[in-house]
Amino acid sequence: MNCADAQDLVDAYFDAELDLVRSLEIERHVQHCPSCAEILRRHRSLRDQMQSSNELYHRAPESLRQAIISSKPINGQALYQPAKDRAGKPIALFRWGVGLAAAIVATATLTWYFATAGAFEAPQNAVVQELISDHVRSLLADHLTDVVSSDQHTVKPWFTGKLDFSPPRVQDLAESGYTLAGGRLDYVQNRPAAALVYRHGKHIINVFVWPASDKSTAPGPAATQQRGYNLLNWTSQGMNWWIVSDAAAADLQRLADLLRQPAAGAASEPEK
Amino acid sequence: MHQTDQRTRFEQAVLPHLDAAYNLARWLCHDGHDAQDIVQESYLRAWRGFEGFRGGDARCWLLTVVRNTSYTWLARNRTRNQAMTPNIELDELGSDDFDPQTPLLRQADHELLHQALDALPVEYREVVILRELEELSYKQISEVAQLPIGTVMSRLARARKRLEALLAAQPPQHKETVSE
Repeated sequence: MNCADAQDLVDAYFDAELDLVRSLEIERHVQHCPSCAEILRRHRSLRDQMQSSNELYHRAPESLRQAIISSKPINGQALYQPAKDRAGKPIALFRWGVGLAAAIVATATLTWYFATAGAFEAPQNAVVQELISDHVRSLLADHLTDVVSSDQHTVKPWFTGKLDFSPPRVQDLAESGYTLAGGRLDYVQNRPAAALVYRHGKHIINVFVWPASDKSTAPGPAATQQRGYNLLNWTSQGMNWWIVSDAAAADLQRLADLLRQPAAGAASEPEK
Repeated sequence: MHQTDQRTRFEQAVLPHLDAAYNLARWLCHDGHDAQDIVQESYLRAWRGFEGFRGGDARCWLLTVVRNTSYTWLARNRTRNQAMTPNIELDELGSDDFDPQTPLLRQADHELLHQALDALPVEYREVVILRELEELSYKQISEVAQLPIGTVMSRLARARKRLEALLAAQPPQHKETVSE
């Protein structure tokens, strides 16, 4: 692929909108083209900044939320005249009538929604958002796996040379219901990460692994839920492990337990 | 009875996307109070048009209403929508040659990023916000913004280039000193 064509497609590649064939061509081109590699780096940096900033995504103020629920205009006169009924009175946004139960349900729904949405603040939230995006993108455009194999002896060596750290132990857990589908190189927080892909029933599970930046070991797996996805994360032996899927949290917990078991025959190392 | 069912369906469809609606309106019109008016008006219009919603992507459907309402508002309030003047004229930027020596975007200069986004023409800012903050696909962006996908792609590429150039071209006093 020549550089002019690549530059036309590099944004689409960056947005996971390209088919597999052209994605591979872009990846090959980028390996030896500093200009295009630079474009991708800048795009990734821009995206990281935009998605990690708390001030950029403007959440609706509480007053607006209440106004929508209760259907009262908040700034006095509405910007546009709302429809008027026959008596000339403005029609409220929503007709609640005697639907008090509906109002309670709506409030409860919103309370639940915002309670879970606000459960985890930045900076960890930035990682969560990025991992969910990585997970979702991996499901599009046939980009799930770079190496397709259920053989751990194929997947682990594939990572060698592509990661700037030793690849994690790769296990096929098909006997327990988690089939290794393959591996993929991904990026998290602007650095390469290994993505191990498992299938569990109808669900795709991504397991992201990359070196932890601090020395602490997080206590046992921590569960998160955002945007309808379940996540589970822990730190072990200097590596961050994150599981992302739309599968049930209990299924992810079971996978985490399996992944965290010491290798058979190896002396179990104490968690530092 | 039908009214109650409709109301419940409407709530379930669009109430979860209130933040998305406000975020888009806020970025298009710059001002929080105006954005609230636009969102209220959008929900009113969405409610009125709900009969015509045949299921599917409620977020995109709502955002299309928000986008149209915002542009109508912008057309009426042009004088209030002057893009904030950036420190650097946009025309001076955006060289197509990337010099690998210039520093990458610096970490955590969120205020600058906010200003840089505000400085983009609204048609460019719109696609960046929908792609990067709302994470819509090209197809979804083309539906919300009512543009051909090719136009979405080219505007996004140009918007990114402008943002990255704006953010990299810092006045010297803001640059981190690089030890030689």
